[in-house]
Amino acid sequence: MAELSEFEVFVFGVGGQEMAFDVEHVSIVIEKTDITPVPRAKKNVLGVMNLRGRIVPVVDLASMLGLSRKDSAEGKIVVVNYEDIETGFLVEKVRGVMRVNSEDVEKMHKFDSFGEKSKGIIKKQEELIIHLSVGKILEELTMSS
Amino acid sequence: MNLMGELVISRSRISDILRKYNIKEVDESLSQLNRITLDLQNVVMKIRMVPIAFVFNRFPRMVRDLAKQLSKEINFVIEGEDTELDRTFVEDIGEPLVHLLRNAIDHGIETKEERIAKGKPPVGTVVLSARHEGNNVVIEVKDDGRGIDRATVLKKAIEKGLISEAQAENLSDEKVYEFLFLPGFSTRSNTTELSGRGVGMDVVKNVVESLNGTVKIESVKDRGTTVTIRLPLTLAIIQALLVTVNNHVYAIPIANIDSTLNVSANKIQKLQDKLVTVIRGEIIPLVKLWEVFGLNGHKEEQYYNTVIVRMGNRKYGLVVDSLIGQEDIVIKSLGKIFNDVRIFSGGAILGDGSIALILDVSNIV
Repeated sequence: MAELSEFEVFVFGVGGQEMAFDVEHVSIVIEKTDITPVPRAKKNVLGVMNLRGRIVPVVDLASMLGLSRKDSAEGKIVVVNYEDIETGFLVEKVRGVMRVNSEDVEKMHKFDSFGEKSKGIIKKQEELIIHLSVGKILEELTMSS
Repeated sequence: MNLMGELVISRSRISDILRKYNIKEVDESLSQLNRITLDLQNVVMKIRMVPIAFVFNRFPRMVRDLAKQLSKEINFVIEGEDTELDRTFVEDIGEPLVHLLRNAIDHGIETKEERIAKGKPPVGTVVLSARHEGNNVVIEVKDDGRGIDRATVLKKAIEKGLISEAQAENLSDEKVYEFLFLPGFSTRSNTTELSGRGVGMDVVKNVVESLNGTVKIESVKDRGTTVTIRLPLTLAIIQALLVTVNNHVYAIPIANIDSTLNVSANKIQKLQDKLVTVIRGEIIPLVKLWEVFGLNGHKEEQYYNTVIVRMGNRKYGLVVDSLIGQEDIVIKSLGKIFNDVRIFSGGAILGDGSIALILDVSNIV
């Protein structure tokens, strides 16, 4: 059982914290590019970008999680592909793929302010990484307000 | 079709680059390339267009059978069956129309006795029509039945906890009917054999929206219901006027545009807190786009670049910062995240790789 539940996550930094998506949803990571703002869009949505001829929305992940983004010029955009829909998430830095054993994941307690957007905390040696749910985040973004 | 789109994009990219270097010799061959792509595009479009009769043809029989089953008398009218639309729509639009027609006949049209009691003609009328309107194909399903009861819809919405009773009172009819598009929202407590197959209005909406279109319901009690489906004429390529507002480029479909004007500030008047100007004796409401976009801090000018657009038989002026020029653009969807942003119908990638948002004029004016 324990052996079966080893999985890989993609780790990046947002709002000064380490976060991770399930690696199978991440399609590519690009340098922050020009983002065309979309007036009247939801407040956490920065706009759209041109990704190889496709128009892809870009989301401010930090503000969506209620964190403040360190506005560094060299941000990265993590593009996820979930149920055939591409979405870019602006993050501060990326660390790469990490192998995680499910024993190292602790389901979060009730006080967690991310709600369903996080699936748990990954403990790797001394570090704590917040394991985010791509599905729940996108669900919240597509909900009509 | 995507290939055609890519061809158009790379052509604009090449002409953008060449314009920068201003080489005389290529000008001629470039304009020839422009002409060829335009012709090719027209041919591709024409091949893709089919009359909507392909979809409509199967309905008279269906309606007749249905009417017989429900023992209702129905006069079924089809209008505008020659209207052409994109081939890809033909396959997808059939199912939603079947649903709308079933709704009209089963829920809309009353029984003969009821109709006579209401003083209506005993035979109910259902009209299925199609027409072109600007860059859109408009399909309507209209019945003269009992209409949608606002109170019943609201009761259901309150029951489901979608709104509070206090909110319900102030809701516009349009907002009330929007509840009908929610999954699992049926005002019928007993579903009939015919129109209770789990294919609700939400499916109609989903299909239409996946084709980049919109659905609207209008209804008057005891007078009938009209469901209007608006689809883009074709999937991909349109001609648009590029304009800038606060240093960003936006595209206005040429099909919506009447003319462009430079309106001087002293010709603009306030009429019931709306800005209007008079052009050749015609009163034209003006909309400052930066205000529509919610961008503040725009300075007052002496002259306003204005794009006059036509909606139905009314004209409106959209005030922009500057006009760039006309271009063929390839419409791309902005994606689900922007579903609630009604003022844009999509985006287009320009020759320099930047993105221009395409204005949905009908939702702005």
